[in-house]
Amino acid sequence: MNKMYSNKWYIIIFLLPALILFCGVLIAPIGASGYFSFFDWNGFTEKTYIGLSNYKELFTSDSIGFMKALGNSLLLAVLSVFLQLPLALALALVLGKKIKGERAFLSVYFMPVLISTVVIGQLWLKIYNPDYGVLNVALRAVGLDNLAHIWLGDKATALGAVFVPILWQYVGYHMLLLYAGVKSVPPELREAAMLDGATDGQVNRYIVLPYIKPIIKISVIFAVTGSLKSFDLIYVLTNGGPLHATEVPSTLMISMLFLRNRYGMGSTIAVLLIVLCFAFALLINFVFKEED
Amino acid sequence: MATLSLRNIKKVYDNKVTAVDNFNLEIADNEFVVFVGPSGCGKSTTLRMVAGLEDISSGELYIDDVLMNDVAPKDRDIAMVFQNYALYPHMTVYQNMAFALKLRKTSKEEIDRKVRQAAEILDITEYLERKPKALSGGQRQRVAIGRAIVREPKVMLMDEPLSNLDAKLRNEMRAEIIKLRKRINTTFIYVTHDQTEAMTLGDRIVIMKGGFIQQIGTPQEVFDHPANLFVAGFIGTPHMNIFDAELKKDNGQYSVVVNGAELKCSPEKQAEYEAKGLEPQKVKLGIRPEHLNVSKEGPAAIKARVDVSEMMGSFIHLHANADGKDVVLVLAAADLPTEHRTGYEYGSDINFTFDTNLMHLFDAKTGENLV
Repeated sequence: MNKMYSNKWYIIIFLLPALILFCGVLIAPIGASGYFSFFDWNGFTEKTYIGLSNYKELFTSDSIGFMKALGNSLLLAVLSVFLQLPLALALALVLGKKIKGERAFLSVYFMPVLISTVVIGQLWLKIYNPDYGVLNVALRAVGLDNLAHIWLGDKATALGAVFVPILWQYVGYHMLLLYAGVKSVPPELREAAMLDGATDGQVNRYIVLPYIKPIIKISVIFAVTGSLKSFDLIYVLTNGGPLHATEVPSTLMISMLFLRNRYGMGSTIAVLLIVLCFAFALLINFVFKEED
Repeated sequence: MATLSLRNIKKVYDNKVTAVDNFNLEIADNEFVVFVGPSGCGKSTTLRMVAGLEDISSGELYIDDVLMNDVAPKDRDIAMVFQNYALYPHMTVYQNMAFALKLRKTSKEEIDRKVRQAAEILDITEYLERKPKALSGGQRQRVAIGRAIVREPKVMLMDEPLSNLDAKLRNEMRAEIIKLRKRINTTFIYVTHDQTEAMTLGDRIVIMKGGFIQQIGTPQEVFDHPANLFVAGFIGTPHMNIFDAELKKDNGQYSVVVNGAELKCSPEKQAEYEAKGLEPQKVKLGIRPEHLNVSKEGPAAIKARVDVSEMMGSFIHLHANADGKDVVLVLAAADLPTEHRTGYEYGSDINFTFDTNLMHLFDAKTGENLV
């Protein structure tokens, strides 16, 4: 058996099926997107090679609204890292302390991750409904009628109203990741710190957080890249509207590809999304390494 | 430095399992007390209750006459060395040792002085900038001890600190702990399942079984006068031989009958038994392997057949069978006839006897020492 492991032909043969699959479903489409991004093409007729024009147009044209969409995504990423993750971390630290009903709380917080995004979208549509939605009903009930309005239809509130369910849905996901990390801290480390004179807060700050730093890094990468490519909830709730107020690169890409028949431009957005996700993942890795 | 008083300490888990019961112990200032016993005897649980890492179900714990039951671990001024070191993996050796002082807002100069002083005592100065993963088991253990002593705690707790080390390193570290103890003034509680560690380190030993204290005494006391059969079997290597025997009294003279051999009790034992008013009865007779001698055939000699003869250098460990009962004799090779200095043949017949002054008699039913 060991002989087999050391023979590179065996290694190649065993890895080949996975490699073919990986290339077929991931690398080839990325390559194809890269290729199509250099064309002006509607997806059906003859395509015209236009070089980097799509990229240029994307960054300069106001009518496409890519920069606005990218800004929305980055705002979501910032909120994810500085709002969603701290909340998830706080929950993980509390649940990791062997509290009563730990499992029940875990299940409850994780439930939104398990539910289909379309269902969650429908749920929040009901909450935001201007007539019978819980939010407006509650505001009116406490006399704040002036605050009640069309949350998803107003340019001023649509983005915030869309971000709330996105952040809410994945708090449980990050919490579970971080909770697993908190649970992996050997109990003797906490005990040693307690005997060294650390309060609960100091145990978390000096022992638990540094110990789970690799998991925090993963969570940050997931939160940022997830925000950059967020799509489904926005699609269900507003589809990028009203007037592109909630547009993100993914909704813009779908719109370019399937509504405006600009296949080349859609591919360009896809390529930029991939590059951005990679770049941020590398940047986050670098920042965490620097801290070490 | 501190005195400890453990009064009627009890630990019950989930209202079902009693881990420690009726634990009473007074520990003097600067004393080194060792809790020893087999796995599950409650020694670590007791230690953790002293540390505050486990709640005390009932009873009282006093440190320097202050009730500690509800005091948080961080406020007890106790340091603990854990079995698996529990070093903070993301901190250097220096940071590990300085952590407690940093939390107490000690000045940087003072921290540096104390850390370097402790590092020097433990010979780990050259590793101060390393992370724990870059250290060997022995070095890690030194750091763990260093982290504890740098704080100059009132009480130092050690939970099987040497059990993750190999035999050679364990012996070395044991000697280090003895030296360390002389250099720092503090009260030690040390938990181990290794009776050799207990005997060599402790001013007093607390022997536990099933959550109860079996005996408290100096190493010499528990070796020379085991309180019951469990202590007799637990302390000493190889274990004490236990025989079914009969205590007789003829014309005021006590004797014991073991495997058909009758041995008259020594004058000291006579006096002891007389003073206790022992009645003739069936007993368990304990005699340590090193107190058995090969003898000539006679009324006071017990017959046995050799099963295994182990040459240990200056000693021979002889495993023999005396009428169905396994017996171990530890014989000084130098005292043996020339032909037996390297051991005995398998299956050869021997006779052995012992000085009754060195025997221990236990109640056949309760196992308690009769004297």
